[in-house]
Amino acid sequence: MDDLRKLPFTTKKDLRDTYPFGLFAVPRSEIVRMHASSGTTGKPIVVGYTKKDLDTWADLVARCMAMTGGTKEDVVQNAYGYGLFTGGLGIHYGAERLGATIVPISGGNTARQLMLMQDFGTTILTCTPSYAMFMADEIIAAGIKENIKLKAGIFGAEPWSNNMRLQLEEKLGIKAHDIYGLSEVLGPGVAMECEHQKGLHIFDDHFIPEIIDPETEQPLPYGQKGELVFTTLTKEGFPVIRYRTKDISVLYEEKCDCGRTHVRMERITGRTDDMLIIRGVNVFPSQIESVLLEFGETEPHYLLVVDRKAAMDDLEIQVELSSKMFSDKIAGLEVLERRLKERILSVLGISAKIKLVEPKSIPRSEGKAKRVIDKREL
Amino acid sequence: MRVQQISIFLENKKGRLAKVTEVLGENDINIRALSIADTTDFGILRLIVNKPQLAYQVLKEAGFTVSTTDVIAVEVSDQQVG
Repeated sequence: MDDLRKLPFTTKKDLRDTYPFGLFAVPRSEIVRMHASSGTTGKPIVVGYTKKDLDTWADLVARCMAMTGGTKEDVVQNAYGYGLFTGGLGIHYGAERLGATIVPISGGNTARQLMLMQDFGTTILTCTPSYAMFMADEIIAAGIKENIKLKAGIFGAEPWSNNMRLQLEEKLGIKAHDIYGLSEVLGPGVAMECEHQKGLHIFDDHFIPEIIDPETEQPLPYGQKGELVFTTLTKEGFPVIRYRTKDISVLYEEKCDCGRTHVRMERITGRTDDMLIIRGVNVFPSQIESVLLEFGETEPHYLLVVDRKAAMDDLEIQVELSSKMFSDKIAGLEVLERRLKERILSVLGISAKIKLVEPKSIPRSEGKAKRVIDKREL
Repeated sequence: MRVQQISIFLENKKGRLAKVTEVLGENDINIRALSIADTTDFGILRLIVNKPQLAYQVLKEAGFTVSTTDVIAVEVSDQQVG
């Protein structure tokens, strides 16, 4: 194991520099599926899976579901988005592997979600925790909690707190489990909480986890907080060696009360970079910058304000209005706001409120503007 | 008569209009006419002043987003059917 530490790290930059297929370890013809996650600069990070990789993935997600007490008797309502995002299809094939009944409803359309949840007798809900909270509030508002048969939730793809877990468990009458994964390593199913909810079990028969000091890049012992690093053992299409996730966590090696002996990781408590996860989508402030540059700004000043209202993440982007973008007509400025909103939607994949503000009104610290205010209590 | 109208972007926040008039006052600039077009979050303040070039310059230096537009000014006397 010590020899692993002699190998260099793999970073997101390495993945970006080799776009699209540069790091595939098999001929393209052996790849049977691709997924992609948002990159920092427009081009996504592309990952490829062989038949065997999809097989492994389905096994691991089935394992995650079994950890919630799931069996073939369960009805799994999968409200993760289907598409290039790994959440939807990753969960989908895992549920099928378990033999459960999968309802591939994808995200959104809450009224329909609640109708099917009642009519199909859904027992396991899979989605982002913020969407689960939104549905929980809708269920309570509609007075239909009696008709809901949910017993477990598998929530991930964005950071959430223990407090949010307790609320979800109370509102939905379920046990809420945290699932962890990232497309560069696999997708959902890298690690999962068992019924004891004492950290996430990392499936170390497929992935070797390490915690490093992000500054010195030196490995840290169990129990110390640092950046999570993964090496894949069984991936064929897109194996990674010492991939730096930029996620902050702690590893524990003690055997869990459930009897499983996996290394466990603490729920993700932060990032070493400026990436934000908003409604399950990775957002980098630099993406906003690139949009403003397109609009003719040479030195854009902007601020992302993230809040969680009614359990849904809200993104407001404040943009300092320079002379370049100024129109002395209200209609002109409204068009500008709309065009910015549309462009940001297409670049980020999520909608944001645009707020035009006066020059120099966004606070600068040490000459450098603060780019993000995150008001969410995670 | 052709005159230059000054347009200033203002956020809908306390004290912003006062800041504009303060800058103009300090520079001995006299406001002849004023109108504001607004939305919930921001507005555009339009001014006719006695020294438009100077007004543009000092407001810009004070950090405002400013532009100028040529407009036609017509003086109308303050009386019925004026």
